[in-house]
Amino acid sequence: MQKYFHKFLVILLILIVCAIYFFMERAAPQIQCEQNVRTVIDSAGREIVIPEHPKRVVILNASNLELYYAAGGQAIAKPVSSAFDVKLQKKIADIPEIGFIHSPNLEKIVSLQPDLVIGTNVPFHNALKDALQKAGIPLYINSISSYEDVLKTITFYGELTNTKDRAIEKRRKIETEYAAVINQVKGKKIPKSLIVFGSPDSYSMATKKSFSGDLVNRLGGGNIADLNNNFGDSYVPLSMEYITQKDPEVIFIITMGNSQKVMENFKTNMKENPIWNDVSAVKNDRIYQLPADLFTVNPGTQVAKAMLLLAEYLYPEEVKYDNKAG
Amino acid sequence: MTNTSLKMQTVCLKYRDKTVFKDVNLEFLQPEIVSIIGPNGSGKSTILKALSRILTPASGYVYLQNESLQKMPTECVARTISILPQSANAPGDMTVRDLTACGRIPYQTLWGSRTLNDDAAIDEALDITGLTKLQNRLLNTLSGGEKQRAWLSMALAQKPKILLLDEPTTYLDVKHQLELMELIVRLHRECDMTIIMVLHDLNHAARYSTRLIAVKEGIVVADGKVQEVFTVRVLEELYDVQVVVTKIERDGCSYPICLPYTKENY
Amino acid sequence: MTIKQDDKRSKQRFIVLGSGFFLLFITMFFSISAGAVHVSFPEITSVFMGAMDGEAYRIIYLLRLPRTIVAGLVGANLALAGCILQGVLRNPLADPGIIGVSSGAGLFAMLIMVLVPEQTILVPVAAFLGAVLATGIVFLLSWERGINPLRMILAGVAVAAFFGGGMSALMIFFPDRIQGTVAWMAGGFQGRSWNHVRLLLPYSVLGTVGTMLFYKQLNALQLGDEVAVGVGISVKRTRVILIVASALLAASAVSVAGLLGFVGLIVPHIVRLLVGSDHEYLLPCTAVYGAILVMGADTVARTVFNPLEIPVGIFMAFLGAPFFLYLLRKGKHK
Repeated sequence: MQKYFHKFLVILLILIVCAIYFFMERAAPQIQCEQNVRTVIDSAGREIVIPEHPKRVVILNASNLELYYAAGGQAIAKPVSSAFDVKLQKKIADIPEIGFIHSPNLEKIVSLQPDLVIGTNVPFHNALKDALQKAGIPLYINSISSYEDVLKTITFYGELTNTKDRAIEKRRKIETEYAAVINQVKGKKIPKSLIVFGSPDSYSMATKKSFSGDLVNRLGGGNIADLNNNFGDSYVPLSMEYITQKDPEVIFIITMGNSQKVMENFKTNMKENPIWNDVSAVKNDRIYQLPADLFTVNPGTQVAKAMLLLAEYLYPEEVKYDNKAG
Repeated sequence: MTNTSLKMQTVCLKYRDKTVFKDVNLEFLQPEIVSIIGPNGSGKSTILKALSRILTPASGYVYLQNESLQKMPTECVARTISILPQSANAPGDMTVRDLTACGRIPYQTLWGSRTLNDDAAIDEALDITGLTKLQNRLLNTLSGGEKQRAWLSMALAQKPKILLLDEPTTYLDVKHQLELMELIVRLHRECDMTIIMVLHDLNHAARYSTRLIAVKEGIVVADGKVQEVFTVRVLEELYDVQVVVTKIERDGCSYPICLPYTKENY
Repeated sequence: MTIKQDDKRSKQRFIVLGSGFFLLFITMFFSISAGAVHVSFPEITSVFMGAMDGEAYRIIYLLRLPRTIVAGLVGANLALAGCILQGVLRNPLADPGIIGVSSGAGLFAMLIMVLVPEQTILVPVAAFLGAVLATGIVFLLSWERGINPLRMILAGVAVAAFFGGGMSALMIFFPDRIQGTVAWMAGGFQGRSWNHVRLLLPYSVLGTVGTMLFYKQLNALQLGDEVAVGVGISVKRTRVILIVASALLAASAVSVAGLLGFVGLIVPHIVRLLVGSDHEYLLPCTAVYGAILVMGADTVARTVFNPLEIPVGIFMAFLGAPFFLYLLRKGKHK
């Protein structure tokens, strides 16, 4: 009985391996692409072939979706997100969801038979490339990490959706708003600022390589995190000594979520802490919370609005931020 | 039938850089029952481990049939020498037969399973140790004496010419101690086996062995027939106590015994 | 009476193995039919019979079948790796994480995902290299004329702490990018394709065949080093070979699935309760039940909150806690 046991196992193992190989080596179906195509290079540096005017687009994250609609396009699926503004929410109310931004459901996506999927440059979107490719669906990675990216994206999406005019108009609007804000702050002496990002257990300072840091830089600079050339990345760990040394006059705080309470907590902690209390920004109570929908997620078309808000906080006397406009 | 010889030549044994033995020379040329006696820490177990290649000599050689133990493939050695170490534990859900079957490993190839030969050897080992009726019992349901016999059964399944036992009776009660010793004598007599054991009980050593090796602080103090070594002079030097050595006559047989004592009055 | 007891045990072992294969087949079927998109039984059979078009084909062939197979192979590999380690190190709490596999794989995978997130294709390779490197370091640290089990465990803890520090550093310096790594760290099978099957299969075959050859040695090692030597096992060499095999099995699994924990720890214990600690039966049964567990867990993880997917690793963590409590109670009663 025992001898046969071993032989039985070996035969079973061989059968299993053969079965797997059999299924693996079968050819994948060829997807016929009837439409015209164009070759583009995405944010991940890949050259991919996508339909010239895709008709069924699935978008995996909020900022790309917002910009796509702003450029005049429409998607057939959306991610689960609380970052859509009211107007956009109405427009996308009826289309199906494909999961959270950080865990899109591959099966759902494939079952919708899209001809283009747009994501952002994060591992959990990049990881879908292989499977989507086998299903004949191109994946376009578009990362929006600066003001320039917003403009470029709108233009590109305008071409994709064949509503160039709409896109150009939107772009022009943003550029105008942007120019207006820059104008308001031209020639003024920009105060030293600090952008704090993070959770109560680990704080970081945003440099000009981050989106918000980039905006502050365009408004005139002054971000103390940019004074040190060694800070090569978009976020660097917070150093109390550095902050005390540079003594910022304005502190911006970006928190996950919009909680009023978190902000109150921050302010109280800073006021009670003797080291923080010595910093000019805290002494003069110039600590501002940057709203999550404009600064945690990429603001997309609202980028000028974000800049205006920053400008008002930096120059409270000179700039007035009107919530109703834009 | 040729005898299996086991020789230790100018062997130096170290345990973690501490020299336990220097220049030991021992020979076991024919089947006999040898007991190694001596105070604690004198290196008795170390000799057994060297003889069974568990410990490699720092210098010198151990020869099995004139071949160096270190150079022989370990399965070859296992078919001639088997050892029952002092502290042996096994998974409780093994049966007596499972444990005995482990003794057949040196005869099995990597991909081989048990042959008829193996089964016969296992049956025989179980028979000699009287465990045939208990062979499917789990190890953790056995008494101390039965467990020890199970380990012996495994050692016997290897069909050794030389059997090494390290304090086999330490955890047994008196009755089982005697049973084990009588079994050992029978093994020697019926299977022509050389048996080398470390015993802490001097009287057992004297009664059941044909040869004694006395060891103290890394030196072989005496090596020879029982009546030569089991003397007041040797024992007093060995254990640093006073002893009385005498014989007890019973049923026409003569049993050597020794009684250690001190001069203190309590 | 004694012969009957032995027969009973043999029969029990065969039943466990047989039902294992049967359960595996059933689990595979459920895994293929469950998901965000509904496929019916006739559709499944037609796909296997060779129909190459249709919506069902794309879903089943491109997504579900490779994912199911990957989950099964990962489960088998991890369970086997844990079983071997528990045998070699004579420690019932051993699992592949102990020898540094998880920390090495985690750090190197994280490096890729944080520094070059577009090169996701490099992640399995990097994770594998990291796992092997970490295990190599643990090896060197624990070498003392052979592998000393206690030293290995201590060395594993030290290496895990070191690599864990590296991962924490990455999290501090790149706080905006760690979101992407969290899902991988937890362990999951999203988007696993035939490429991953290709990566895993050679190791699974090698590992399975190899360990089946060494069951005698593993059994002998349970009796203690000295007894094992006495019975003709080359203890030093066997330990090295088996730990290397375990490391390769675990490294290949972790590089494809992420840091899936508890499989290597729990499955061998459960199977040991069913078939005993004789590795001749323990090893193959462990592989089969490991495959069932992970395949089943993955199926549940992706269907219970449809269309949202929970990483399988989280499931396993929830299973792990009650298991440890059970071990605790078992120890108390003894």
